[in-house]
Amino acid sequence: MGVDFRDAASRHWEDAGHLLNGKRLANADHLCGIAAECALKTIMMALGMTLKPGGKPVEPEGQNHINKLWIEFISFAQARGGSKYAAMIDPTINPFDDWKVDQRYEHRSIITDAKVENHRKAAENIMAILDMAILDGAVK
Amino acid sequence: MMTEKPVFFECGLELALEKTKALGTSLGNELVLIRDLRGGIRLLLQGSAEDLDNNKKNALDQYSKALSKGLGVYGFLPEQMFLFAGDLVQNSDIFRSPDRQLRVEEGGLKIYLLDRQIIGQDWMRNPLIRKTQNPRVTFFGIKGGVGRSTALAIWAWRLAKQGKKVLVFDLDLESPGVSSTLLPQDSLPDYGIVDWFVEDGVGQAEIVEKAMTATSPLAKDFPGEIRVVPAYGRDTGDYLPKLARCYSDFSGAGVSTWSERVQHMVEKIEEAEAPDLVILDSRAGLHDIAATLVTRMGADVFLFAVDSSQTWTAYSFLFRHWKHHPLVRDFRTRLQVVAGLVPETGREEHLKRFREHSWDLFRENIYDVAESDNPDAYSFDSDSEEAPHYPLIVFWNRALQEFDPVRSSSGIDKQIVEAAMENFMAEAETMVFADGDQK
Repeated sequence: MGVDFRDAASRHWEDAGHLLNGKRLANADHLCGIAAECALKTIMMALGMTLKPGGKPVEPEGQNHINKLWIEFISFAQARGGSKYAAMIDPTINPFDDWKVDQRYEHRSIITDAKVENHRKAAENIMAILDMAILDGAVK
Repeated sequence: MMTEKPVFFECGLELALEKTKALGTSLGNELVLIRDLRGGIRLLLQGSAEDLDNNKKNALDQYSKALSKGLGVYGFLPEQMFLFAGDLVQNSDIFRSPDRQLRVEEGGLKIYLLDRQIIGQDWMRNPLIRKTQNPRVTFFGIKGGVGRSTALAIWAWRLAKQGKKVLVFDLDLESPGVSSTLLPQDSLPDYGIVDWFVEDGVGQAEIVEKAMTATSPLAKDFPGEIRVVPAYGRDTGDYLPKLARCYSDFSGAGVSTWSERVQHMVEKIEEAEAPDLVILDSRAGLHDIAATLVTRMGADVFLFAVDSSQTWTAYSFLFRHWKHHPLVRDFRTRLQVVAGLVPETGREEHLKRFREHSWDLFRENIYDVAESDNPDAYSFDSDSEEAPHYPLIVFWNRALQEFDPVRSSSGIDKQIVEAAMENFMAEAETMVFADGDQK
């Protein structure tokens, strides 16, 4: 599988924006979480995370979706010279605590305005951390 | 195979500026070159790839190929040689970052450099916003051992004698000195500056804030007072693990730069203490502590120096960097050179040489080029006494070499300190307490 977390992060983020503009909250929420996950994994790749031939990360931290990755990213980045990026993530409040990848199989009514806004803001923050890593040259 | 000449850090930027100049305004009137943490250089364009017509795409393509090849290890693959601000979340913030420095302006084209550094950004940043009004002074030396801390302690002593309340921060965290000069062990407060930073990191700075200032016994019978915020306190315990956590850019769960955190700490204690003057003792050298205290705290700055080629060379690194500082016009008026350890013999000759070297440093870097038709040019002659390069003087004195006033029975000898420091202290008082706080 030709994994490209960086491109995936930006297209999911862009599409989340389009869905939000069209009031398609449930799928927008899903994509905010996936975009954030891909953005953090882009940085983790730059900090040395490796992939198995199938495209799955070798490191256990990298095998999480955003609801778990939020916390895992902090220790991964701190241990690999990325504490600058780790410091941008609040270890005390995980805004994706109530996000799960399987919500795509659930009824749309579980996703409220407030929930999406919370995830959108958190994803935007993570996209800004990715920008920082790009400008730093850590992500090529 | 042809061996190509290696490209080094400093050539990279020159080459990138040349190639970018050659673009003219074909890709926009404002272009930003980003130099990343390793020194790698690429171009940041406004908008996004869709905004480019075929001509522009071709121009960018040619440019990227040429620059990628020319920059060698300091470049990227041609398709990675540029970024679009439109692809970044905070696109306009990054394109117009206050950290960008104008490097080329010609033919309607402006080329900026945005230097992404691990440390050292503070030397080029705007002053921090402050709420308190009291004057501040930073004591800085590019090298240590020039009598900076001794001068600080003696001046604080004299100001307290005059009835002033002086608040001293020992921010020389890697080598705290003023703390022990002004406070004997039994006068230390419970906590110090390193404790503040560690506890602020987890959001409870206010607990230590109330217990990190103590009164120096040096001024105990005076109408004024010396209040000291030391680097460490009685209950600090193991210093190094705390020091190692001082420079983080977080405060509680939030993000806050180290400079903003220092400003916050100083302000909180200023608000509680209402001092007549705050003295910030900076660590020596080109460290980020110094960057913040010298250019960002709104302080008058004493630049301590001895007349040695080591000193002037080290200062020239800093001053040359300031040539590109967007706000050099604002803070250069707050600088004042101090000649430390001026020898007892051959004083006039010594000071003359010192003045010449100091003048060269200012003239070549931060004075305006003198033009006879511009009376407003910020420019001075070598022997102009009101100039910042014209040094205040601290004379070398045998008795001050083992200066330890809170532990020696005799304390501070008025005659000795007047002989050594009268020039410095009187001038410093005029500078700081004169109307408008400006020279």
